[in-house]
Amino acid sequence: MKFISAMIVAMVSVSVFAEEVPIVGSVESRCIVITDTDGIYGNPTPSELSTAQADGGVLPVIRFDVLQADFYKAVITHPNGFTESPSLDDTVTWSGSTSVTDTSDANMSSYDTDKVTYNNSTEYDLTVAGSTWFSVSSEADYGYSKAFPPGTYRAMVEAECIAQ
Amino acid sequence: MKFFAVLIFVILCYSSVADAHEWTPTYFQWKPAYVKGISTTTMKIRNARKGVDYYEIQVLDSEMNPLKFAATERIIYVPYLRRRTVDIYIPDNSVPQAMYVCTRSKIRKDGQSKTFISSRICSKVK
Repeated sequence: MKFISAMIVAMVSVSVFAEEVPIVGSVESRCIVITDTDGIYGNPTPSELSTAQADGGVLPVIRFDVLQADFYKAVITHPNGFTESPSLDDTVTWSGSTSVTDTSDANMSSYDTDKVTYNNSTEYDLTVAGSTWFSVSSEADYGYSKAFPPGTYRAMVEAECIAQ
Repeated sequence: MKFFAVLIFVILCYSSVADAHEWTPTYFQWKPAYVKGISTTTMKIRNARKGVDYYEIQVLDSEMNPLKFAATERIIYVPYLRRRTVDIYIPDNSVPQAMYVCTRSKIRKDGQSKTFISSRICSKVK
C-alpha cells in the first residue's frame, strides 16, 4: 500500500515538473506610433473641408507610446496637399494644428507649451515615459469661396518618432 | 502605487496596440559586413496597423537627407500583426553620415487604405 502511494506521489510530481515551460521576455526602449482615430473631412460649406467636429469632421488622433523618457521626439505634420482628389483647377489654402489631447502622466502637461512649430510640422520632446495622444486639425479652402468638385478627398497626416 | 501605474502602462502598451507601427532597436550600430568595404545593421519591424502592409526603409544623415543603401527590399511587405527582421547595408564611407535608419508606412494608391495617418519611426546610430 505504501509502495503504491509513493508511486502515485512520484508520478504526480513528475507530471507537474514536466509542465514547467519558461517564458523569457525583455523590455527595451522603443517608440510605438498608434493610429487611435482616423480623421474624416467634413464639408461645412462648398468651398471648405475641415476635420473640426463643429464642421462635421473627425479629428485624427495619434498615440505615441515611449517606454523610456528623453529617448525620442515626436514630429507631427498636418497636410498641405491631397493624396487623392478629383482634378482641381484652382489653389487650395491649407491650415492646421496639432495639440495634446490626453496623457498617461500628469508630467506631460507641459508638452503643448514646450512644442516647437515650423512650416506645417509640430515637434514635441517626449521627456516622460508613457502614452500621449495628439489630435491634428486640418482645413482646406478652395479658391475664392469656390465649390470643391464632387469626389473623394484624402490627405495624410505624418506622425514621426525620431530617436534623439 | 507606482508599480501599478507602470503595470497598467505596460498592459496598455501590449494589449491595445491594435493599430501600431514599431521599429527597434532605438539605437543601432553599424558593423562590418561579410563583404569588404560594406557595413551592416539589423533592425526589426512589427506591423500592427490594419490596412498598412508595406513599409519603406530609409537611411538618412543628420539633416534627414537620404543616403544610398542596400537591403533585400526597399519597400518591405509586413502583414498585419507580423514581425520582420531587416538587414541594411551601406558602404563604409557612408558610415560617418548615416545617422538614422527609418521606416515609413506606405499607403495604397487604390484607396483600399482608409487611414489618414502616415507613420515614420527613426532609430539613431549609437
